Amino acid sequence: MWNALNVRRIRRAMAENGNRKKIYGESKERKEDILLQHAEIAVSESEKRANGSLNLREFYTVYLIETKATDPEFQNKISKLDTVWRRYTEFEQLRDYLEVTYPYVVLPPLPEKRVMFGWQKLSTDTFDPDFIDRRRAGLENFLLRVAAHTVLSWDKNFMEFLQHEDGWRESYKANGYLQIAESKLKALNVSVRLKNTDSKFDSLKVYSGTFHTNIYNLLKARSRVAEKQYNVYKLHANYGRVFSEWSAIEKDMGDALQKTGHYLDSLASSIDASLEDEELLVDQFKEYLFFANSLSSVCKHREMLQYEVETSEESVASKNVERVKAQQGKLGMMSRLFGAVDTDEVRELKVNMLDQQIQEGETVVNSANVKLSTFTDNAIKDIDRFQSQKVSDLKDTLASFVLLQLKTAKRGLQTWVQIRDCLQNIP
Amino acid sequence: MAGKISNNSAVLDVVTENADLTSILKENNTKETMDHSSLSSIPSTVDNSLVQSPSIESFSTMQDIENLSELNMDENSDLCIKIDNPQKHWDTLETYITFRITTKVARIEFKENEYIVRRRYNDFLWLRHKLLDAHPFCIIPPLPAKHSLIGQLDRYSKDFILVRMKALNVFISRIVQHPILSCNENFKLFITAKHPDFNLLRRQRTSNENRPHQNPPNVPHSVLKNKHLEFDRIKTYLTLLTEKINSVEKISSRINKERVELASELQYFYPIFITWSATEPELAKLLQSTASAIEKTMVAQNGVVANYQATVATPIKDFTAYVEVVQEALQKRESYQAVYEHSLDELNKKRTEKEKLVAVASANPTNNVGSGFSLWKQPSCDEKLEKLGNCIPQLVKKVELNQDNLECANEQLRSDVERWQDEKQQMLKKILLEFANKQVEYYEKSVSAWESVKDRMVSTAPPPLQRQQKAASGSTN
Repeated sequence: MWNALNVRRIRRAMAENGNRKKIYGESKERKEDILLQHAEIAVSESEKRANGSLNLREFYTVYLIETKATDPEFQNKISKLDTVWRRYTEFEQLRDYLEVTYPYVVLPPLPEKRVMFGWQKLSTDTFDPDFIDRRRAGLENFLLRVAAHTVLSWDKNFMEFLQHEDGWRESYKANGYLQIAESKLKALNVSVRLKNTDSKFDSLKVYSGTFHTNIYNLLKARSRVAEKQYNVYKLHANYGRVFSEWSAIEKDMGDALQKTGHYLDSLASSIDASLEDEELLVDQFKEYLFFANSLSSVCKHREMLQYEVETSEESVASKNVERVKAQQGKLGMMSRLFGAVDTDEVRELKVNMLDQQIQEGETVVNSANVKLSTFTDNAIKDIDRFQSQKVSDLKDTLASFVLLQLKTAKRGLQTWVQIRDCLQNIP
Repeated sequence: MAGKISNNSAVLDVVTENADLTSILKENNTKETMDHSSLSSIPSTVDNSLVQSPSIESFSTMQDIENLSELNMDENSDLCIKIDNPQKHWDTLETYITFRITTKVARIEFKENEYIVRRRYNDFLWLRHKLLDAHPFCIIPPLPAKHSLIGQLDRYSKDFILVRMKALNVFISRIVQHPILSCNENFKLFITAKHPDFNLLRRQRTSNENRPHQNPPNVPHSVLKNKHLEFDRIKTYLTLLTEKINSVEKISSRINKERVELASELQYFYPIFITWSATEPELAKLLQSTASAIEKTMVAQNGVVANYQATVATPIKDFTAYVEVVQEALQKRESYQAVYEHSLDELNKKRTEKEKLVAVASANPTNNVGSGFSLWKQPSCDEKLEKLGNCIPQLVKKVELNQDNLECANEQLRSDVERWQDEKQQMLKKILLEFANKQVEYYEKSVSAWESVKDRMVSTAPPPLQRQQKAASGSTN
């Protein structure tokens, strides 16, 4: 079991290396300045820790983040090598902070909190060493994505997160980010009725829903296919024993039968590696499954801002109506009962007050509109960035998937051709 | 008669058309003979007109076996038999299927070069019984099972008939290849005799059938005095072999079930790619070709599943039935040995008795008068000796006969088992190769499906230089 786990770790590390090369390579091509051009980030280790007393032990896992400056001139911003230990909840806190601070960004997602689409070989236990290793890789991926973003990578809080283990925790508490994040993100879940919806964002919202559904269905069906495929291959191991026993009682056929048995054994064990490789691709799909949520969050944030605009506009509009009425002296309960009763003085007072309120209201409307249009511009830019990154990433993932299927099929073909050749040699 | 046939309303018209013909055929044997003899060298298609048209499941849509390579037969050998063209017959007593047996032969013992006859399954049973009688220690190939109520419910179903027909072809070709059986008189009659002649033959009670069984049934032969090492070894080997091959079948069947489930999951899997492609213009092509490759793989998988019966299950069942025949022959041989040993025992017992009596008689020559005190007369020593004198030579003859029979049996069985061992190896080789070939075919299809996706990917990917520029200018931030 230990051996198998390490083999998986090594294979995953190799895949990560490939991934890292790609990410660092791509970042060098970028025109804009991003953190990744000056530093390397890795989540290299995990450790199990315990809280509380002997009886009420609460276990949790921490991950080691290593940040290394690759650019000598950059040393002032980042020390040569920083290492911090962080647990998953701290990553969550960082991400919540980023979402609240940059709501127009399609934010990179964290790896899954619980195992989705588990099957026979994919344990749903969050303390399973495989799960922890995959989570480690996912967390690294998250940090790399953030560090490759033109805006996010320079966030002070983010840099603190990478460099100062306790410092970040303290400042996080001090700024009350936890509460801010909680309230803002809770508000996001309230659905609002809007008068004018932006068609582009409407379709984006719909799109994010379909995108999520499609990937969800794909991953669910895939896990079922993987399970059945695994079963078919593994059953072939039963042949091995029978063929070997059979070869013992045969003269001319013995050799061929023995070899056939061995080939069938190797066929049965070959599926493990294939499906492990496939799980790496599944993780890539999962990232985009969660990206769909990020996209729809951006749309929701925009809706909130639009709502503010509309409510503030409504408030001004009703104030205007009041003003007209006040002008006519028709304001107030008395005037409704007895007609215009206000004196000129009173009327003017009321009108002036309303004018002031209207002016204040209009300032609010303006700022809300500005907020909305800035948000919209920024969001559209980031969504475009996201879309082209999505196309490129998913193309890679799908291509890898195809190549993996081809490789598995080729290996199967090779084994059976060898078996057939072996059997042909029976005199 | 019309009433009986009325169940098959779909063929009522056709049947009534031929009703008269049938009755003429049945009652007028001579006419049939005439027709048949004139037909002996005419191609078989004319045959059909004399037989009732088939039932709802039309056999006429079945392709006659034109290509003898289907049967793995050597067309250039001097004896070549094919069985095809099943037809349904209606009788007053029963309905049954006959098969057309076409024989092409270039041997002196045969008058003609080609024979065409029709036989039914029961005729095959008769033939096998005759062969067993004539050559008790040859390995007579097994026949396909009789219709059982558990399996196929419809013994006229196309599938059942086809499977049976294929098995009958195998049966006949094995007999053809057997040096002794192919010369058997009854076999020759089976493939040449016209309908009336053959019927007479069938009804004949030959002296063979009236002769009591060669092995006396009440000889216990479960334990042999002298185990025949050679045959014992063969027996053990065959038992293990059957065990192993049955295990292989069980495993294959289990895997097949799992494949069915895999194929059904793939059925759900690939359409998702297509659905997804509808909302991803830039990924659409890749998604769709992936879907198509998965679909092709699923189809190939279904192909493997569909072929399972014919490729694995049936050949293995047939093989184990054949092994069973050999085991039966070995068992028979053992009973012969038991009979021989038993008779030998008897002889020895009597001989010892005689010796004892002789010793007693020579010791007491005067003491051979039965005592007057007993209520019945004891047989005197002389009388006993006389009896033994008659009995022993008979027993000696019996022992010699049994020994002869045993030795003949051993010889015949040994040589036929040797011949059979080669055949067995070829059979197993064939079964295993088929099994491997089906897998190779499946993987070839899967590889080619994924290769074509890969090729399409490579051809539509932008050249590397463009890709770098794209990455550099990609983000609009």
